[in-house]
Amino acid sequence: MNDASSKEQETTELLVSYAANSATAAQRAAIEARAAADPDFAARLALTLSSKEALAASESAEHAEWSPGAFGFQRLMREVEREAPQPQVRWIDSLNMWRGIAAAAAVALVAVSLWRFDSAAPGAPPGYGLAADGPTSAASLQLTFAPSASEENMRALLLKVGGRFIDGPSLLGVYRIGFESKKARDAAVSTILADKIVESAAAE
Amino acid sequence: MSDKRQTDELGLIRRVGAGDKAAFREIYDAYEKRVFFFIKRRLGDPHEAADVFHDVMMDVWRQASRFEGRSKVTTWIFGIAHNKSVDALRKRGGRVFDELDEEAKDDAPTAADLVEVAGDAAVVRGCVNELKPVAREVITLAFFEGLKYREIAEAMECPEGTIKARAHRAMKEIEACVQRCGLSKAKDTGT
Repeated sequence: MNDASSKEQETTELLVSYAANSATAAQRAAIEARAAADPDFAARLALTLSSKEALAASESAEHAEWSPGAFGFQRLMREVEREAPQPQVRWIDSLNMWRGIAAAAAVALVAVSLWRFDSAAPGAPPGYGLAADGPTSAASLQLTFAPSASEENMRALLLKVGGRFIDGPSLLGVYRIGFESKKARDAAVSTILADKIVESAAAE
Repeated sequence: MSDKRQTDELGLIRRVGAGDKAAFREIYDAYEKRVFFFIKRRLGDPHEAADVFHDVMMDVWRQASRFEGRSKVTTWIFGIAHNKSVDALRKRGGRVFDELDEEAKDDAPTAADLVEVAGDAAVVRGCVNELKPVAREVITLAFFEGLKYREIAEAMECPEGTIKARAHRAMKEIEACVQRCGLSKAKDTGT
């Protein structure tokens, strides 16, 4: 790099620091004095300031787009809880009992889910009809995901079946998934149950 | 960034290091959009960016107790985001930003050419949006995160001279674009 180019880079650095309000008082005064005496320099300063404004408008528009938000923090908290050291007490003897209870609860949840899907609504495809067909039924499902499921996997699945997150996760990691209609929900069930990232699904 | 904000953030990170989830939420809220969109601009895919952002914040949680405050909290967090983004790009087999630096071409217009068109906000906005991410991120970090070139270089793990050259190139690209678009606009309107 030659001296002229190096000098140019230093001028840009000064202009950027001026626009960023990170220049010292002495630097600011020097920049303003030079801009008053040199129209070319004044034009570069004006463009640097305009660029900052344009970038701010662009960033502001970008920040209105989707971002993880509160959902992302809940996801972090779930992982934080999983990583938290478990209490080292004598309960270790009863660990197998709790494992048994958890396994039984999981089996019961799956059994109830299957029973509800198998109580087919009239016209539902065989094998996974929905029982929640009364006047109070909603077009939603309760899902739990495998711990290894990433947000990208979850969203890809919901995109595929036309569902959206409407609530969750609860303390037990249960999400509520909404659909435009019961028909859309019913049509999505087999795809959801076949996906390896889904641990359980239950109609509401 | 003001000294007070830096001190406040350092205090929050100390609390996060002690396992304070409320402090972690404050840091999350302060950085969520800034860091997520920083990553998204590099990766392009919002879902992949969300996963990388998740990993960044988990590192903040896990490493907060070891953060000594030798750099700004902003430099530290953007540094983690930079490294995770580079890892994600490498996993994809794509080129990483550090490999995208090209020789700066000083074929931009003279400053005098800019006088007529630099004041056109729409033209400048269009030109800023045309910047490549690698050029845009340096001036974004300088303008809005209050980081000096030395601090940006620390976060990006590259020489300060590289950051200086990137910022200069970014401003030259804007100048060239503003002149090109401004003059063609003037020609279209017959002014």
